[in-house]
Amino acid sequence: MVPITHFLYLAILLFLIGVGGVLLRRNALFVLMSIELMLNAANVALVAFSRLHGNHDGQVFAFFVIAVAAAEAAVGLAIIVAIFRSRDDVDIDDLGLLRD
Amino acid sequence: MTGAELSFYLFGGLAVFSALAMVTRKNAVVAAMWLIATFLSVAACYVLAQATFLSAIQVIVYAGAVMVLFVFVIMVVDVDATGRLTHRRPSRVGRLAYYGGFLLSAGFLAWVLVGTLARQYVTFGAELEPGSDFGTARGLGREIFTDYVFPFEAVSLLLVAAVIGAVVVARSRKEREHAARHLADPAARHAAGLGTAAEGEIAPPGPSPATDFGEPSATGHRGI
Amino acid sequence: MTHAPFVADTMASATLQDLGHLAPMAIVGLWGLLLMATDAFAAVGFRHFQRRIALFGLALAFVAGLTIYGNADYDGGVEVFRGFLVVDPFSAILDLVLVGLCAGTVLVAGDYARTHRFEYGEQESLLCIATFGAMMVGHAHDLLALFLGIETMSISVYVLVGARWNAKPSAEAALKYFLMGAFASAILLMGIALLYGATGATAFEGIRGGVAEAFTRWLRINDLARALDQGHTASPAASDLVIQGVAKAALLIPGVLLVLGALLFKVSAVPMHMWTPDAYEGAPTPVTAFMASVVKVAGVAALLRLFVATFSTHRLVTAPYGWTTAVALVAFLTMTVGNLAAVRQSNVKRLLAYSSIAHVGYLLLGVVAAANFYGEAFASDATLGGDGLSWSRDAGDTAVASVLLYIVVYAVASLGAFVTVAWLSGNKHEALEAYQWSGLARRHPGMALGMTVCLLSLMGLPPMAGFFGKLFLFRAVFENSNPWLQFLVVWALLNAVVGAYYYLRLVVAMYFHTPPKTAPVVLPGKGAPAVVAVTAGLSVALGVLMQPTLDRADLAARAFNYPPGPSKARRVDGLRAAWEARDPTPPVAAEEPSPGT
Repeated sequence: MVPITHFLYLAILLFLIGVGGVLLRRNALFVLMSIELMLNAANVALVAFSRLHGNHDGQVFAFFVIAVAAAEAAVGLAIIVAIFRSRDDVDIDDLGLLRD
Repeated sequence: MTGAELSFYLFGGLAVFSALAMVTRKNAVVAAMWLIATFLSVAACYVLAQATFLSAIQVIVYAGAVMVLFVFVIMVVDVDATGRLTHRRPSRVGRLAYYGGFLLSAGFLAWVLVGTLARQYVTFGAELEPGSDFGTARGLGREIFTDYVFPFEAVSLLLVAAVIGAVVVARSRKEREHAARHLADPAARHAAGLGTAAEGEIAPPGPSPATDFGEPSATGHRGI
Repeated sequence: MTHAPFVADTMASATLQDLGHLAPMAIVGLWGLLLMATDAFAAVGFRHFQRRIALFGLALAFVAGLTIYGNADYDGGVEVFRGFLVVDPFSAILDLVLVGLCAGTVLVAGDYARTHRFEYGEQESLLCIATFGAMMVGHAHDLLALFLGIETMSISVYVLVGARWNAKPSAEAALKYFLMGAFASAILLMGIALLYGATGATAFEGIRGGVAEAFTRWLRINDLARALDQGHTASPAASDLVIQGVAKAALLIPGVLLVLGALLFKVSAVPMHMWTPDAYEGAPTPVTAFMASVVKVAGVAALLRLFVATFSTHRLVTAPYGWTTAVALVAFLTMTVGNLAAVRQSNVKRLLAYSSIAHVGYLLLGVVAAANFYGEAFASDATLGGDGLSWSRDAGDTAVASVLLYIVVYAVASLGAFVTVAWLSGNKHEALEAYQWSGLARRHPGMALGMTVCLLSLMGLPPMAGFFGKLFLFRAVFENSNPWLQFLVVWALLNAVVGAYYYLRLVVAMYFHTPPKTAPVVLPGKGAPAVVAVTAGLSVALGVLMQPTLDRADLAARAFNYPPGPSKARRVDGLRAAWEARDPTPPVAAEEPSPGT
């Protein structure tokens, strides 16, 4: 039997690695992948707590989170593709139109 | 150490290792592969927490569908060019505040979460009957289609919005022009972005500042 | 399993009945799908029909909302879908407001997209789905409902922000908003996981019970520590129980903080506000109006539902483990930074974006005050006795009512202001620089007047609704005995003066500066003027008829932290009875009777 606490260790380690990726990487694709990692880490915690309490609520929650994460990935990747397309013909220095 | 424990530490370690590898890689495709490895290891850990159905979903949806989408997009967009996708050049003070704030918030987050861990007790979770359908497709399915029937329907709406939205955002100009090519009405052609006016250009920013109200934008942004 | 058909039958009828309670929300969601279907069949170039269909559906939802709104059957709150969502006077008001705001956006969005040459037929559908998500947040009675509602809304809005394919800032703003929003969602989710771990439930009722239990055990550990200090030995069972309590409280507090951080991001409070001006500026302006109104209302509703109603036990709101201290600090920063940054802006869209941040600061003050009152009500159970309890309870209700009133008044005025900005635009060009607004009153007196009324309402000038919103909010916060909160009210008043400066600057430019030689291009169609007229009219009307408006808000907020049930119904009905005693023709009397409930 694996203690629930160790699942929690795993979840929090993965979550912090994901946070690190979001904060330190500049590339949007890497940031998106790190966010997916964070969502997965939260899922690990949900599943572990579901086991802890012995009810299904956490697992059902994780099920819905997977659907939401897929939707988020689809939209995020579409936005990245759109940016890539719009930048085909422009100088890289043109970016940062929206900046204080 | 039993087999279950052994496999948990094996797969857990693998998940952490591949997650670290993912965030440190330079090449996006390699990083995506490491992320797939993380997801598969996590799926193995799900089995050890009696979440068999979720484990299957994790492999199919996450490691399968979502990551295929990722790899596909990495192939479509030029990875080298996207290296500077979110290129930002704030001022030095801004940069300092930015990173200071980021590190502060990350440190706070780490502190909070590690503090959570430090106070946990060792438990193996609730007692489960040997033959119960905890975490199986049957057990979860019963929950989803009875108590959770409304969120199940609501999430379908979310997925529709996401799919249509992805098409709306990523559709190329060529596709838009192709869809609008039969339009005869000039107004409709205009609305669809076809027509005589130079496209993709920002119109001149109107009259020059004539009053004492506003200097041109401090950002140099002329509005759109 | 032998009774499967029968079970399915009763389930279906229960589901239909629950959907009846949720009629406005169900109609809006259904219309989102319907609009997508009609778009597939509508020929390109005939997309203005989409708007009519959308408006018809929203009108239907509004009528359905009215039948629930005035209905005393919902006074005690009705749990639907086994406690997943709740229908009560609060959510009934939010339904009406959100549907109205969505209709306002729909009226302008199509014209704007056509004029700026990025017309696409999915826009109305996405707006409806986003509104569906916002309404789900308003009804939320379960963490899953909260999460799914926020995500449905956010994902649709990411798309709406990035849909303007012929302008680069649009996609860039969408990326920025998306990355920050998804990051916040991940943090929200981790917080939810910890809350679930601490309480073993995702339903708000279960969480409330779990919170109480965790802290009871927390108290017991102090007794145990004292006993151990005095040389007693504890039985293993007792220490086990206590240790479990520690673990739960240790999960609970980080969970609360993470969820709080994520929600503060969604309402763009200050340390997490960086995305706001950029996303607001880069988005197509009708979408900006939507973000400043619908998304803000949903964010505040989430804060009220989860934090004020659920996390308002004494120990969770007061130091050292309370979240209100953090939120009070955030409120201070938010109004200060928002107002000071707005003063520096010459770009109207960014100015309004920063001003919307400042308004969030005021709102957070109300949230803190409400939670403090409810927390006191919990504590005064033992110390002050009955009078203190009922006073704190009523003060908390009043604070929630003033927050509700403020967010509605703000959202209406904000929609009007942003729609005016959208209206003053031509082919791919918007008059965003403030000097381009000079002399607008001479060329377009009606629109200038509408914009002025909206700005004055945002600023808080007496006859407008915004003044009463600020008045009631600040008064409710000032009731609190906490000197820091009282100081913050004074600070907020100073901030309101700063706000007056930049709002009036724009008004002065419109009325007293000479217009430019070339006439400004404006959006064709009657949609934008209609929206501005209605929002300006409402801003005045809600102010002039302040007493009935406040009564409605009071009713919605009555017994806000009570679980749905007869005791809540009794208190709400008590308020209705008090009205009737005060006034022979109460404002409720005009409402329709109940539908088949």
